[in-house]
Amino acid sequence: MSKDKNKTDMADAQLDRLMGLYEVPELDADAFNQKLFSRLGQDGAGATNSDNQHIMIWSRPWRFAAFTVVVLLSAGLLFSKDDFEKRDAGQIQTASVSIGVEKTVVPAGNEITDVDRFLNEIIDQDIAVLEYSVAMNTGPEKESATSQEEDQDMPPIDSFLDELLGIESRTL
Amino acid sequence: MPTAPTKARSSKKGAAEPENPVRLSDQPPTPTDQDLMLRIAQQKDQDAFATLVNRYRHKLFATCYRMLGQQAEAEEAVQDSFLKLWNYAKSWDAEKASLNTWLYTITGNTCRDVLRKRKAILVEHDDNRESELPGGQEVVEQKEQARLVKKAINELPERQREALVLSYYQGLSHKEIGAIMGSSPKSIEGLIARARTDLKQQLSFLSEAL
Repeated sequence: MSKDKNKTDMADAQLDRLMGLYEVPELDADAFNQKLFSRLGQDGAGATNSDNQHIMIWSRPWRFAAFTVVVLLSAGLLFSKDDFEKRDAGQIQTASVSIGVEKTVVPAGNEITDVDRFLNEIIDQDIAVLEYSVAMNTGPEKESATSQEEDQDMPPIDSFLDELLGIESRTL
Repeated sequence: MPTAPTKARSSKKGAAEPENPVRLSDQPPTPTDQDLMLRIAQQKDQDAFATLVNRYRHKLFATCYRMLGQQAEAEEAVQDSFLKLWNYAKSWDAEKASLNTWLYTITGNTCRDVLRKRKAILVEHDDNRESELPGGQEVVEQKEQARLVKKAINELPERQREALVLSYYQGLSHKEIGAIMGSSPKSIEGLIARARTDLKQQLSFLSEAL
């Protein structure tokens, strides 16, 4: 028993001796301090390598590209959603007239500008002309084939529009 | 400003005393770790930081070197540890742990991060182990022995290596190591015992040469 113990002690001593051979190289203190303080000064707070992992996303181009794509997609989705919501809310509405002319209606809640009024009047005039043509049983295709007599029977368009919109509409 | 011992000066009876005698008690006392940490935490005092760096640099470097086995990596790990100290000085609680313990904990974590990153390299290194070890009968030079010891220590499991390094090379108690590694003193004792047994097995062929 004591023999075994002696053997173990001996082995421990041998191990200690061997471990003592493992020396640490000399550290250049000046270079170490210089580097450390330059790192401290570089980023103010002195970010460590592990801290830098948080901003690694910016230093890897493919990650940055992926991140940009995700942001752009999200932005695109948001905008399209916003557009749909606006349409649903009736901010831009299109009403189709039975004769095939689309009329833009500006909602009552929005401010109507002079341009809107002008466009609406133009559209109204177009509709009126078409309604008149339909009423007189004459389409655009028939016009080319109309005879001189038919032209004479038809009241002049200007007088019709004057009646419909008033004489002042000519100045528009 | 040169200072003279008070005792020598007082022995000269009748000699003209300077108007503002400088006594030993006027010398600023060596600042404690706690004072320095307070200055770093509150004022970001770089002088205090430099004092702490000079105080702990070599101890931490020796630990990191024996944990990592590479000088450049060890230096980098020590720098990272000091920068963590600078950044998180406020989080150190003197009542919970001494600065020594706190710094060794930071350093240990930093070294573990480094080891995790280069695990693949270590695996490759492992493949060459058999071919590098000489036969048991061969007498090796002291330098070669040191290289083999270093290699054997580097091949120990992380926790065993850390416990062994802190115990054998830094002379810390099992209780202190337990506080650093977050284990009980008993389990630290077990880790060190296993580490030593592993080393004995790995280095057994060298016993003939000793």
